Amino acid sequence: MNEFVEQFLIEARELVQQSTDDLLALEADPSDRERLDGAFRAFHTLKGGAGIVEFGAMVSAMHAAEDLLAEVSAGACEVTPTLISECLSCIDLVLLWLDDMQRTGEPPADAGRAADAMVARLRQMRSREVPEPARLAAADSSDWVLALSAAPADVAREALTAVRLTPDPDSFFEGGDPLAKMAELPGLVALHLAPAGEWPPLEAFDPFECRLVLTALSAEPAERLAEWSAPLAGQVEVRSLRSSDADQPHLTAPARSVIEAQLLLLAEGGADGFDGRLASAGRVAANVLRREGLPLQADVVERTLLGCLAAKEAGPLAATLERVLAGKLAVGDDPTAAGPTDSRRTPHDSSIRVLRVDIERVDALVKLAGELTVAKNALAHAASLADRETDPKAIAAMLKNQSAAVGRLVLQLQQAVLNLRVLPLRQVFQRFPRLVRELAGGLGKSVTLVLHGEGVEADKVIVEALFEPLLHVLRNAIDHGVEAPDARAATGKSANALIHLRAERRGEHVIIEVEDDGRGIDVDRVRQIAVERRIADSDAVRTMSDADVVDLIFTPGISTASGVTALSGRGVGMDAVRTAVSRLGGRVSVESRSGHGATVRITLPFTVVMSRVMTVEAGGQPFGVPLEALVETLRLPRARIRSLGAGMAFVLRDRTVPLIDLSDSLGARGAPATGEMANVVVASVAGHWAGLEVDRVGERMDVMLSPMEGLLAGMPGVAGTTLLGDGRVLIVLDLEALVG
Amino acid sequence: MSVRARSDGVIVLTKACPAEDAEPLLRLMIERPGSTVDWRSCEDVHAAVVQVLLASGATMRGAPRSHFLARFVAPLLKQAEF
Repeated sequence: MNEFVEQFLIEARELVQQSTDDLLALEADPSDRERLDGAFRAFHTLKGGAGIVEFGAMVSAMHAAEDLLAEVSAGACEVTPTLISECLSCIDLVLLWLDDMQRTGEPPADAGRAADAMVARLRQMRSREVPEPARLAAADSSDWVLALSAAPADVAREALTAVRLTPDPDSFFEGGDPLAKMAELPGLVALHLAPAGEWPPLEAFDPFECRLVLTALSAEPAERLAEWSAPLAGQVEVRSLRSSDADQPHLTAPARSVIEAQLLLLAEGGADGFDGRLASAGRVAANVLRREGLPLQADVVERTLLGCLAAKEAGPLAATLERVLAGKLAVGDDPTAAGPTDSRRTPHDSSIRVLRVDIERVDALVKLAGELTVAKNALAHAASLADRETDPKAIAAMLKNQSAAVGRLVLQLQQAVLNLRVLPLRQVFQRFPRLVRELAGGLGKSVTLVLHGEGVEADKVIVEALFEPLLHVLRNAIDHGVEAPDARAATGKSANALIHLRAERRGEHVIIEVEDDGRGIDVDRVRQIAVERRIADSDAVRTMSDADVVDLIFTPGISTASGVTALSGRGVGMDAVRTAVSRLGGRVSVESRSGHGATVRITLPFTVVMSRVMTVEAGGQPFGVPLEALVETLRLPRARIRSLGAGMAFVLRDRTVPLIDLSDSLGARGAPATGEMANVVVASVAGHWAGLEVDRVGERMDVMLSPMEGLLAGMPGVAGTTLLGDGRVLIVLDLEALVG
Repeated sequence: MSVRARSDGVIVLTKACPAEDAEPLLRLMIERPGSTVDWRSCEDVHAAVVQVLLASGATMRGAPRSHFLARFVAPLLKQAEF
């Protein structure tokens, strides 16, 4: 992927986020000019970026959004929820495109259609006094045609085509003579000259600026004027006055309007956005023709478009469209068309992983690197002295010092490197206000999401992985927790529900809470469903505390929706949240206040990459057992181990604990273990205890995990590896996968 | 130069009037508003010149030599009465 595209993708995503924030804030307060300007600037910058990476369709779409917001800014258009929704839809489209570009490294080849549809939608939002340009063009055009038709009867009888030439103001400078051009019009029967607007007072008149609009009637049919009009493309309109030929299929009036609008679009001068206008005009025209059941004509238009894009001129396309309007488009083989055979899409490696990093953090690393170099040199010096110096004590002292220095620096290095990976939770939080708005809207509920602690940081992996589980939680809250506005009013609550999304750092953990003021969890209903779905038997359920019953919502298979709503109720929900959070090394719990709402609390480690483990050895291989899962280590008399079903188990403090032979389960065990006592590590895995029999129990260690790559990546039961001081590889266990 | 003012105040356009004539014509029309323009020998008049004629409300005397001008452009301009 070239670096322009990479840069574009990064900046575009930020701009998308920016504009979403601004649009949502604008919806809440339509008078907020800062937000309006912010949104406008975002679209404008996106347009510029799209231009640089030659993404014409996106340029068109952004331009349309800009125009719409400009009207809002000028007071010609109001901020309504519909307008905001349309702008947000435009943003969504951009996101789709960005994802596509991320994969392929290039603008999506089929973006044109979607861009055109979006442009049409945005145009429709514009002020009602000025309807879509398509309609405007038609109204405008018929005026001039009508004016010409007021010509003497004999002229009107002969006239088959009306022509309007609107030369560029600089036409005279370019050596053109529009009047002479009109004189050359085949079949000229009437001419009219008028100023565009009013004539200025003579003193202020610039005689070299062309302000003329030249209109004419011709006795020739439109297609015979094609050659005459071709060099004037962009400045001339040719309109058939009556269908002179019956064998070409007739275009419906709306279709004509749209194609006329494309001619107007092509007529817009200026190099800025030229490609976008050209592409947009061609594609819209082709689409319209297809919908009219004229695929062959559409093909001709598209082929002409490709040629025009390559040659960077609009003339041939305008001429083709005029022929279409005249009903005189030849759909035979067009030898000049030679479009590219297929999209140039080739799959690129999708793992472009980029981090934005504070420059201070990089500087801190640079400083550390310097200090490590000093320590390294000191060690080298000590090593060389060891050869010469005969006093082992002096050497030992030196080495101890240097070892301590290096140890200290490495710890700082570990911390600094980890700090590179931390991101503020804002990255994931800021996606939610928009989603909540839509989720709530879709269910007819009124919900406001309030964010707290977006500045709290956590490891990149965690921040990114939080999106899905938080989305589930929010969906659940909106779907099941929050009542409909009238139900809320009936119980004296405000019609608008509030959901708080909070983040807080506590020591080595990050706490995230989703608190709603809905109806809370219906404990009795959960009890009932748990029994119905055989998740727990009726006795157990009766004796469970309310808190435990509420925790059952995290069990797969529980769904308390009586019907399936648009969002939830399909059994995908809170159990997925617990799984996802566990995988990140965290915990999730819920607290419910009947009638007043519920709070889901997610506790996560600050970083994933640093791991505290208890080292053990089994089958000669060192393993790490995550310390947070460790319950205890014990030496168990082998006699206490019983077989239970297909496995083994033992009793510990009235609990039956299944026992797994670690080396056996990893396929490393040769002969079965003997010896009177077994070394067992008891771990807590997904709420249950499991025992791991090992050969030896080692000590606690802090390790930085290397992610599993290559051949080892698919190995089950392994969370990561690290190198031990003696050069051996320590395998850190993924207990859930191993035991579960 | 195909634009000149006659001693009697009438502005005469001769033969072919290119775009450059627009400026002197405009100056003359500003100096003497409502002037009459005699274009009986015109065969070719650039759009810029016609533009000035239209904008200044000049009164045309006689028919130009060019068929195109006579048939299509003249009707758009004010005509002097004889």
